[in-house]
Order: sequence, then structure tokens, then C-alpha cells
Amino acid sequence: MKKVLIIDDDLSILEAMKLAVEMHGYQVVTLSNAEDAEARVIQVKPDIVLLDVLLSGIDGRDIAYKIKKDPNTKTIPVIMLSASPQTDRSSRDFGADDFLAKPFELHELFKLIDKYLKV
Amino acid sequence: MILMLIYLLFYLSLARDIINTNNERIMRVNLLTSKVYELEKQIEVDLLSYRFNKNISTLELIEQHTTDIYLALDEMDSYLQSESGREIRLNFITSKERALDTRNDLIDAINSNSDVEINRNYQKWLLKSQNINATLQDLTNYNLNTLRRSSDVYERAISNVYNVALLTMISTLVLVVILFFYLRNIITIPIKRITDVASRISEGHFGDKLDAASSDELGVLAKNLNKMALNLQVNYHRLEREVRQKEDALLKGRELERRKDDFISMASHELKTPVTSIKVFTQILERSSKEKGDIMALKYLVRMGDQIDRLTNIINELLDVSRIQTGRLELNLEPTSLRNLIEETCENIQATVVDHKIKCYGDELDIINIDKYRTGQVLVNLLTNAVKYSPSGGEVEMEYKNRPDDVLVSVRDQGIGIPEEYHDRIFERFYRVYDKNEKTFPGLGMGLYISSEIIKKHGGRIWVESKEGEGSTFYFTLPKNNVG
Repeated sequence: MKKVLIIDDDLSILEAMKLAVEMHGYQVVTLSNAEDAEARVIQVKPDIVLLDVLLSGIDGRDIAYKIKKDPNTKTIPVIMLSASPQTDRSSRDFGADDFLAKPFELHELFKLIDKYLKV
Repeated sequence: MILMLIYLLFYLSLARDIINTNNERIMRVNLLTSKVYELEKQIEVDLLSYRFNKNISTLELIEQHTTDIYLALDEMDSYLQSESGREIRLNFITSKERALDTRNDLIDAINSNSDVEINRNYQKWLLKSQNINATLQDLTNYNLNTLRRSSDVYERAISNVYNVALLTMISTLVLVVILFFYLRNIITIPIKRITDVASRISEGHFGDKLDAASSDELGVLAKNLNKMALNLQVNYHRLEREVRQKEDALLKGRELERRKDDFISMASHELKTPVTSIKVFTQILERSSKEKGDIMALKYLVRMGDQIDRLTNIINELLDVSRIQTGRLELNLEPTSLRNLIEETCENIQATVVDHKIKCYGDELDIINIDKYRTGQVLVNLLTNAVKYSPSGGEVEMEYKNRPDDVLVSVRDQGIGIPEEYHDRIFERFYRVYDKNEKTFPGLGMGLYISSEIIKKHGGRIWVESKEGEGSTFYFTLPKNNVG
């Protein structure tokens, strides 16, 4: 089963998304503390990362940049989520593969994940 | 002073005239006196010659000469008439008349041709001559005195004139000096002081006070200046205080405005987080209800979803307004098929409405650099407005035209229309037109403001053509020359 890593500092969103993505048929690992995000990515080895831009104290775009720079993780697709649609372009500039504005329609989210996981 | 000088000059010239006349007379008298002496001598010579040669023609000469003497004396008398030497004149007249008698006697004697008579009368004549000469001597002396006296008068007059002139000059000078110091003390110094204080007041030193003790105009002026300075000081400080208060208020206002924008931005972001999870949960429930066939739950969950979307829109608009206000509205320009964007948007909106028919048509359009997300926002805003403000349904037309420098997009509805006086104001932030029929439409007055800012940011133009009750047509242009 494909593994999806969701990084968000809001526990309610994490819970909702975990539920939804699992319903859609993927294994989900959640991470609310972004401080050791890169280490967790290496450890978990997800097939895709869903990453929030505005994390408490940390800019999600920096994490995306590091994931895409590290040879061990750079092939993992990263989809950024943000409450601010303005961060779309900058997220892509930092190496993210795609962007989704919060709040979103579930079918849009599933479409994006499916696109990268080639189901 | 000038009158005095004129009087002096007049007096001087008068004196000179009198003296001149006197001198002329005296000289004439002297001349006549000499003439009389000469004629006397001539008569003596004539008589002597007659006694020797008894020539008749000599007698005629004597007659002639005695007549001349008489005429000379007569003339002298005429000069003496106006003179004050009354005694001399009387003597003179007596001498003159006696000379006339003697002369007549002499002439008679000559005519009688008696030597004795002639001789006796000649002697008598000589005596008279001496008399005349004495009188003439008196006259000469008198004249000399007169001359001396008139000369004295003249000199005195001159000296008087000089004295008066000198006195006048000195007194004038003294007067001028006194006047100068007086005016200096009374006018110049106070005016200088007033000017200095006024100038200091104009520089903001209101504390300077003028001595306003005198009751003249300058004292009044000083008093008024003091009053003015006091009023200025009071008003100045009041104004200063007000300006400071206004500045504080302005700064506070700006600070509040900034904090408000920050707050809206943060609040919107914070609002989106729970909305996101609610929306996800709602959709999960929607799916499970659909699987379970719970129509009732599904119906309300769809309604909840719509309301969540509406809430999301409001939050997004608040975020956009906040961005515009803080100058953080940035465009991501990228090559876009505007035609596709318009057609997609029309389809999406058509999918959400039942009573309206949305028609979308236009020219082939070039690929141009625009912010796809923001332009889509404008299209959605104009289309939803067109639907919203034509409550009885009908057609909504979206037309796009290819023009040389830009693309012109128009959205036409058959709705309630907008009175002309609001045509500019509807693009202002939070401005809303209230319908006459008290029918209210939901919204916060942000949509058109955001749309107009987005279009302006692209370098385009947005406007409306509308009449109340006859529908509205919104237009906007997007330039083709933007660089992505």
C-alpha cells in the first residue's frame, strides 16, 4: 500500500486528512512537529508528502527545498497546502511539485495524489 | 521764518532805494552848487570886463548868467522841498529871493548905463553872492550829514538783516536738532522697538512685551501689538496642541489601520484552518452518507458544504482586501489562454445556477501574460454578481473581444441595474448600493473592489454601463504587453 506523509501543525486537519486519505485507500503517516521533518521523511520513506506552508515556527517551503535537495528523498513528490493561495508560485519555486489551496475539495486532493502515485 | 526773510529782503531793498534817491539828489545839488560858484565867478569877470570896455554884449551875458544862477537855485529848492532841513530851506529861499531882487537891480543898473549904479549893484550882488554861498555851504554840510545818516541807516539795515538771518538760521538749526531728537524719542525709537518686537513675534517669540505707557497712537499700537502677541501665543499653543493631538491620532489611526490589516490577515488565516478541517470532515460524512444511502443526511451535508464554501469566499475576500491595503497583492503573470479561462469559468458558474442562462462567446484570443488565479477571481465575481443582481433569472452574456493592444471582456445581465451616481463608487472598498425596494443582497462590498484592484494591477481598466431597472454591463480590459 502506498504511503502518504502529511505534515501539518493543526491536529484537527491532520485527523481529518488522515481519515479522508485512508478512506481513499492509502496508508497515512502524520507529523505535527515539523522540526525533525527531514529526518522523519528519510525514516518513513513515504511515496508522497503533503506539506503545509505555514507551520508553527517553520516555513514549509524550506522543508520542501531540503527534501528536494537531499539525494535520498528528492524523488519523493511534494504537494504543498496553504491557506494563502499567494504562496502557490513560491512553493513551486522552492521545489514543490504541486500546490493546493486550503480549504479544498477532497476530489481535488485525491486527483493530485493519484496523479503522482499513478493509480 | 520764510516770511521773516522776505520781509527783511523787502526792507533792505526799500532802504537801498531811499538811499539811492537821496544820493542822486545830493549829487545833483552839489553839481548845481559848483555851477552857481562858477556862474558867480563868470559874472564877476563879465562885470570887470564891462567896466573897462562897456561892451553891451557883455551885459547880455551877465543877464544870462544871473538868470542861470536863479534857475539853478530854483532847481535846488525843488530838491529841498521834501527834505527835513526846514531852517536851511527857509534861509535858502530868502537868499534865492534876495538874489533875484539884486539881480533885477543889477540888470536895471546896467540898463540905466550908470557906472555908479552898476558898481553899487555889483557890490550888492557880490554881497548877495556871499550870502548864497553861505547858504549853499549850509546846504552842502546838510547834504553831507544826510549822506552819512542814510549810509548809517543802510548799514544798520544790512547788519539787522544779517543778524536776523543768522538768528533765523541758528534758531532753525536748533529747532531741527530738537525736533530730530524729539521725533527720535517720540516716534523713531518706539517704532523701531515695535518693529523689533513684531519681527520677534513673527519668529515665534511671543513673550516679548512692549512698554505701552504712552497714550498716543504709538502707545495704542504697542498696546494692540501686545494684545495680538498674547492672542497669537494662546492660539499658537492651542493649534500646536491640536496639531500634536491630530498627529497622535493620525499615528494611532495608522497604527490601528496596520494592526487591523494584520489582524484581518491573521484572523482569515486562522479561520481557514478550522474551515479546512470542517470541510474535510463534511466531505467524509457526505461520502459515507452516499454509501449508506442516507438521503436526508446527504442533503444537509451538501447544504453545509455550500455554506462552508461561502464562508471560505468571505475569508478569501477579507484576505485579499487586507493584501491590497498593505500593498501585498502580487500577480503571478504567466502565459494564459484567456479564452479557455473564460469558457471554464462560465461552465463552472452555469453548473451552480438553474434560473440563469450563461452565454459565453467572443473572438479568438492570443495567449497573454496574466495572473490566472486572480483573473479567474474577477470573472467569477462579475458572473456571480450578474446572477445575484438579476434575481428573476434571465440571460447573462459574457463576451470577449480581441483588440490591437488589449482584450475587452464584458458581462451583461438583465437585472436591477445601478443608478448612474453609484457607477464609480461601487468599485470602492466596502461600498454597497442599497436597493430602493429594501431588498438586500448578501455580501460585504469587497468583490468589485478586489476585482478592480486586480484589473488595475494588470494595467487594465474596469467600468460599468447601466441604467436602473435595465440591467448592467461590466467591462474590463487586460493589456497584451505584460511581461511574465
